[in-house]
Amino acid sequence: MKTRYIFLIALINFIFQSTWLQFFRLNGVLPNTSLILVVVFGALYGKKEGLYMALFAGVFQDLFLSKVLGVNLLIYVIVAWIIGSFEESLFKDNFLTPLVLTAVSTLSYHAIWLGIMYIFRSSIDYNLMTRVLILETIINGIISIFLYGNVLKRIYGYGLR
Amino acid sequence: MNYDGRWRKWLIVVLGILLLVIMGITMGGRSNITYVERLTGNIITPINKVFSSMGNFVSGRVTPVLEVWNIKDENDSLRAENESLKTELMEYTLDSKELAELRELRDSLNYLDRMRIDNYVSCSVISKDTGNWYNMFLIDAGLSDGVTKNSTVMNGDGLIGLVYEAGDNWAKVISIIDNNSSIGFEMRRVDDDFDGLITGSVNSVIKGQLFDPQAEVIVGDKIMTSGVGLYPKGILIGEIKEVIIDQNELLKEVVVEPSVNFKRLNKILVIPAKTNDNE
Repeated sequence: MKTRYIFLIALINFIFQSTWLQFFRLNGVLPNTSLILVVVFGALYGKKEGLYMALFAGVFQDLFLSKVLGVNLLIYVIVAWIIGSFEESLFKDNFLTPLVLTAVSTLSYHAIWLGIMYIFRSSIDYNLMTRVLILETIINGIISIFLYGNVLKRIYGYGLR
Repeated sequence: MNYDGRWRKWLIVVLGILLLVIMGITMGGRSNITYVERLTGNIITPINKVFSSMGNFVSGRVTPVLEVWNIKDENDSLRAENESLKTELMEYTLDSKELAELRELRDSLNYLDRMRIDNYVSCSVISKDTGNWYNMFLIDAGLSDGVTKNSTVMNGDGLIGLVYEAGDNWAKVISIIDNNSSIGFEMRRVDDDFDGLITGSVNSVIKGQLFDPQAEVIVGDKIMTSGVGLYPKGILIGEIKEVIIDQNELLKEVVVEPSVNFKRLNKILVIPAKTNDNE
């Protein structure tokens, strides 16, 4: 996939995530569509595309809506790098693949995020933690199955099983 | 492992460390943002503005339909509030006459008028945080409107937060519950003037201490900014939700619930930070 398309997808995703998606917060929790895109691109298109998506999605979020520069970028790049590394050995048509990948990525996203915020002694709402973690992991997983299935059909011609 | 792979590995490690350094530098917001940020901001924020206003329009039409069942309850509570406000208003008209006389007296004594704020910038929220931890958002006013770092952000309900970083025609705002900086507050009741400091902390409540351990605070008291610190005087912060008496009886702690619903922000006001030539 051409880099400029990845850039455009990341840009459109950022705009939607920060405006329209805000009206669909479930119990105050917003699905992290950027992370889902990074996972799907890394798992289906490959390491390079995953990393580009991580770069663009991370930069947009960091520049405009982040407390510190570079947090999202760092996490997305790590996620894309790891998923891209074993992309070739994935069972791509199993519905558990996007579910598990997204769930693990979401949990590690928050783990790294909390670690970094702890280093910088930023105030974190620990009471939110369980709510955010569980709910966001579930929502992200569900969304990623649909997105992953569609992209899989586009590339390989068959859907999830 | 070939040479290329090893080289890439080190590149990633170096970039990771570089990012951590950048994070450290940018923590707490900067007074001047880089040229790249300014440029991308100027391109993207107008697009965001269009999308968010469209979203607000649709939401403004749909929400009343969805909340039609609550309208009666809300109507009743508003009517009750209206009654009590009317009686309060009667008292205040009397007070305001006295105040006008006192103001005249003060003007004749050449006192500085610190309380009056007349340079509001009215603007709207154009995009909100994509994460689930903080309540940061972008507004469509920036340096060209006089909004600078540390300008106060509020709306009709009360204090919202501070401008974290400002671009040309956009600015990043951080809410009071996420910010580590303290807010000086005082009680809104007229007959006591106990002061204290509160800091944003956990669980979308604000925690703070009263300077006077003997102060009488009741749960349900409204508090507002006292003018100590970055925020101008007289902005409603919230309601005292809990009073914790320290075991050593040295300090009285209060837990404050903000009067603003941070998840539903649309139109807001910005009071530009005081510059040195004003003082």
